[in-house]
Amino acid sequence: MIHADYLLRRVATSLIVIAGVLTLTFFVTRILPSDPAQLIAGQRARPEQVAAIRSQLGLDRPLPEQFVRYLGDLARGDLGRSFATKRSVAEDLGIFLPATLELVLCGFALALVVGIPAGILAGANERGAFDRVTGVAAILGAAAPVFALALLAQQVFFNQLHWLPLNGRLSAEVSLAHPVTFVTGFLLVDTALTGNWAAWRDALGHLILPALVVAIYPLAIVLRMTRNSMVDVLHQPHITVARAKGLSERTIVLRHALRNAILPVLTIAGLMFAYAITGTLLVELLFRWPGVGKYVADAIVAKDFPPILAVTLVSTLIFVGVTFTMDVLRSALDPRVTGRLGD
Amino acid sequence: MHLARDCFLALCLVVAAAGCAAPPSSPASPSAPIAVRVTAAGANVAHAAVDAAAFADFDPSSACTSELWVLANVYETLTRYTALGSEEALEPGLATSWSVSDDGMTWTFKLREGVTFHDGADFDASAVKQAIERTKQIGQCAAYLLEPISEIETPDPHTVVFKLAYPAPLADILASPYGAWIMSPGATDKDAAWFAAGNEAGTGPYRFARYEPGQRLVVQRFDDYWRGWQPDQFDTVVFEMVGDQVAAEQMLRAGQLDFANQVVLTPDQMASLDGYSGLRLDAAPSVGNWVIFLNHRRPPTDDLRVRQALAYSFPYESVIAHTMLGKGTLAHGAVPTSLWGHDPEPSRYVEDLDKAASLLEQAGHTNGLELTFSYDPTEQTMAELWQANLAKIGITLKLEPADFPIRWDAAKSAPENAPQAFILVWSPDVVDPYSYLFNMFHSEEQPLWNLGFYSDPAFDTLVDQARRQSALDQTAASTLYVDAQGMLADDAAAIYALDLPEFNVIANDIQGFVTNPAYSHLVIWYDVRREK
Repeated sequence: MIHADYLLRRVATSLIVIAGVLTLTFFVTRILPSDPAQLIAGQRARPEQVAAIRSQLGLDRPLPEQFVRYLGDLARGDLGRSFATKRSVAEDLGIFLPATLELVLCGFALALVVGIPAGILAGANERGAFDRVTGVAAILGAAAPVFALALLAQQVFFNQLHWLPLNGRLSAEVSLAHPVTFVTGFLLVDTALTGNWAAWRDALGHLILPALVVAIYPLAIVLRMTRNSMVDVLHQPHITVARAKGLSERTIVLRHALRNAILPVLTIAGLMFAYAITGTLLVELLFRWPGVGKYVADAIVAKDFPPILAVTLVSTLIFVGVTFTMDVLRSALDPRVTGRLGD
Repeated sequence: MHLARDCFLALCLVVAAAGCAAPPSSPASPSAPIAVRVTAAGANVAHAAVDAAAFADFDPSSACTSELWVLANVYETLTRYTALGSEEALEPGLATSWSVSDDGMTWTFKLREGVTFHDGADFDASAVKQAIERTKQIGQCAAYLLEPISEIETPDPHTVVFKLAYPAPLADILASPYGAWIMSPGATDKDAAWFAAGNEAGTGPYRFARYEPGQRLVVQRFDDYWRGWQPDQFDTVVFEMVGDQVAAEQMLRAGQLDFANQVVLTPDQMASLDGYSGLRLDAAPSVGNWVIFLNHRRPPTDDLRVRQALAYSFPYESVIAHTMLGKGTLAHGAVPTSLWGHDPEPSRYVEDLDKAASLLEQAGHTNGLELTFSYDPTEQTMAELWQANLAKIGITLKLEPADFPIRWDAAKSAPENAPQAFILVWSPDVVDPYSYLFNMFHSEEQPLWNLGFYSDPAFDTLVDQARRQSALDQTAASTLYVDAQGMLADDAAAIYALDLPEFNVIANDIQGFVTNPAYSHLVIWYDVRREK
């Protein structure tokens, strides 16, 4: 049902994007005025110490040579070692990436589960009370700055109601009394796998507020996109035809309109998801969430190249993966995408 | 009207949705956010904030920043600096006594017996030799401090003899928290990655119990610690990593932290927490100071009269009043007044705009001047106060705030284009006047910390001579250090804006906390208790 030609073309363009991003980030980070050798040696080190480290790491070699070596390491799956923390970047990503994914996945699940049905309902009852209310709520949600939402959520649910913990991913007491065995890095999964229910409940409690804050913006966008695209589709001739045939409104909305309306929504949601992997920095900071956004922000401030390159690569892969999946999905749902219409 | 109604409905919806999303009884619901401290059942636990960004290198040979807040509780040095105001500058650590030969070249340390490392190895002379040699060989951070050491001998298991290449105050050097920690022989062949994974091998009161990168590090008491344990000492200390000042303040207000320092919070935040939620602000003198370098390699500050004019133009008193919560103190010279070797007389440069103006006139700058000033964004108030003064005598001060690593990199790589004024907070690696005078003013072929690019062979000789002298006689060395600071004043080499205070926020019920400027911004948790 999907054309092989189309698939090949998409795979090729994806690879070109990845190669381009790799090259660009490598050279841009190297051109920046900074000295990784100094970073490794520490600020108090004497120039001789710094020079020794520079040659030891090959940082005094020509840039193209360093690039080739970087690609070689990458091909062997070696993402390098952070200059500042001296930890393996792959190991670090193994810790910080699941933390962010857990947060963002939960946030987006919430956004889609609430946003799409609410958008359908609003679109099907254009200018009704529900449409108006969700319209205003969506504008508020999309416009509210993340840090304000986070602080508001903490004020209400921690300071006033005492329902949820302030920040962090797991409380120290639970972590000491019920140590979590690291399997996937997703706390809810790891604790469930090992039957550590005390830690599972604690982790869930910690996840709710930040996930809610992460969910607000995509929820607002998804809701409005679904609603608008629903309204558009419902005004099209084939819907009028369906109505003329006497189909029930429910069938029209769910069978005929939704299929067309949902495509652009999924595309946008996919892009927002990929962006959120590194874009949840503020939430991670305010909720003390040890995620990849904070990790890469620290690396950027410290000009610590290996983590910057690795996170860029990973987020590019996620971006490309998401858009690729979305395109394939769209081509499955909509024959026009692959240019097959005239066949 | 419709809009108003819609807005109200929307708000109701948001609140209702938020209410539904939260479970009725939460597992980790905190107690009321007042001075109730979180404690695990039965255990005596303390919580401290640490700076998440810099917190990662646990290798005692190379750790150079905030890791020290933890490592100082896990590792020990042969000697220790005493707190300010003590009679002796040093006290015994892992060494019980030490002596130096008449030429200052041979140092003998008697080691404490019955000390064990956390990994079970015995602490002895060979462990000291291996640890110091490892740090010297890795050559990072402040390892250059160990440079005078040419040979380490171990005549018996409890005696270490250091042979130096030139006289140096080794007992002071070996108290440094930068690169003088003693780690177990079982760890000397381990690389930085082993330590970064959360391993350690010290002799200190606490050992690593649990490390969650980006979140927290938990240390627990080492039962076989050589000083022994009292029941009311802390069993567990949790170092919570906080990457954001707002988050740190919230945690303190909620009673979740017992201690936070100036790196985690701003001075203003700390002032607002004083007296709140069972917390107090602790302000103490430090050994840090604000030094404004004047560029000796670039006009017009290559002219002595211009540098003097600048030194007379600085608003010393109002900077003390309006920065650092008013707790800074008047500097006498490059060595802060909290430390031996400082100039006993106040600086000859006081705020005197008439004098400054006439010096400028003598230098031929009657039509005004434009200078650039490089500083950290947190030092804005000080920069603006100075700028206002300079405007009165026809000098336009161009303000160039930037984060330290960026402006430092730019200044040291191009002295001829570096700003005419560059401020540095100097925190010494060895608490010794030499650390200030050598690092900031000794001639450098390749600039590192001498960011005014001052160079005077006579000064260099005097400072080096003072250091040799300090290996044998501190009083004599002190006189030489004061003379050296006189030379700097003659040359108006730099402006000493103020001697910095150290701020910490600490829970009221923590007893026994004494700031020790040599180990700044940290608590030795073995020494403090929670008042019952």
